[in-house]
Amino acid sequence: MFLKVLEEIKAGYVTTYAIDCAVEHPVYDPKVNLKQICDREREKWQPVFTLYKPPEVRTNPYTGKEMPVEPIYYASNAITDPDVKKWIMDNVPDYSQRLSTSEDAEQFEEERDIQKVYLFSAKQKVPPIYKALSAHFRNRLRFAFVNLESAVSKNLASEFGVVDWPTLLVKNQFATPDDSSEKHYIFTGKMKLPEMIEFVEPFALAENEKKEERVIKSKTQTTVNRQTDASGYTMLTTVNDLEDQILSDYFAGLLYVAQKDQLTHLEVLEQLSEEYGDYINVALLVVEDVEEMSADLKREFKSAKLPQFRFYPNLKTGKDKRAASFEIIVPKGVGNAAAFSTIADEIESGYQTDVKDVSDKVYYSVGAQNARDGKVTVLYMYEGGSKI
Amino acid sequence: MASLGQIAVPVSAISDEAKASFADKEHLDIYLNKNVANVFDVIESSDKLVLLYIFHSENTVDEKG
Repeated sequence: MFLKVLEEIKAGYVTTYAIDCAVEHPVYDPKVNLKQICDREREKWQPVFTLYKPPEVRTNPYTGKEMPVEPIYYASNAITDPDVKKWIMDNVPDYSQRLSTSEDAEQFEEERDIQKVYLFSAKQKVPPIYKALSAHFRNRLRFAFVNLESAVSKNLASEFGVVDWPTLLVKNQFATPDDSSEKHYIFTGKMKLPEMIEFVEPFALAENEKKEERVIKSKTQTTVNRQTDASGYTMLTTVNDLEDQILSDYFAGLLYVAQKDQLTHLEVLEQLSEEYGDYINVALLVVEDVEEMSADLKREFKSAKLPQFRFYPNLKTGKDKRAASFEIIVPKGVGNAAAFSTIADEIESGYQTDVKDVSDKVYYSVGAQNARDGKVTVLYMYEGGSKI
Repeated sequence: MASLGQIAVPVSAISDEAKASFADKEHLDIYLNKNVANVFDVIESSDKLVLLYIFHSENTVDEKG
């Protein structure tokens, strides 16, 4: 099944490492538990498959840390060729930059020593074929995506003489107004990946001339917002992101809001994320411009106080969750250990749970009632002060 | 440490997969039994999407055992 899909997709979209456990390998990569997987009893054997999506922005712009590769698990109930194909194609990383406004176009143009590829498209989403092209030449060419309906599309189309959509072209960045070289080259072949690669290849920098990653600001914001840091917290870029990442979920949430240059408790947030990240949505909202975001902060938190930690209780969503949220007061000047302890105490006391601290008699009563209600009762026994 | 998703694949699919060979498919960006010692480092350094597929070619057990 996978082979058939991979043959259908053809090269360029996904690199597959197929490992056959029937073959004895001298060394197994411990980072993906290969040995343990291969050593399972044969009658229990099922193939294991995971996609790994590289981060579209390699470095966290706020912390300077490397962004992790993201494992994408297969989530559909059925395993059919179309489902597998969709799973793969939906996750092709996108290194193109969407030009929506004239500011985006100007920022994209600023970099002078690397050639630029443009795709003018009537599609809302960046097509996987263009994503694959951008991955093939990452940091050897820059890729722009211009949607027909964007504010800047008319001007850019006019600049390049684009009349048909889609149009793929390379702007000759090195042409000067005085020389006779072409200012841009329009692709006239079929929109097939090998042909597109062949078209842009002559303009690409050599592997050893690769540039550092550079993305326009809007790309950083939208992309980072979809990624999580290595320790598992989500990065938000606007107050409105809370709606998707915290308020819409029944899980509890912990938010750290701070100015870009005053992320004093980032290490604490990382520790909290490692400790509670499996069942709490932990998020960081970085405020780049306090004045600009002030009104949004006041609307959302009733104050523009920074920095602050906020806890959002579980089992609530939307307005109810917002109303039940509260600031966790971390005393000024305390060290990371004390800050962690303060926040952890608040999380544990604010977390809604069905767990009842019971004596044996009460347990039997609760257990009997649950059984009548068709519920399962889990009993956790402990000694002395060693609670859950 | 990276964890791996695992989905039970229909038996027919397993058998097909076991019979099929991933060998000699490098023109399709498919690499069989390559980088087994450090596959995660290779994945981390890739700019492209990577599918890690771990299978057992001798596993022909069906759902009845």
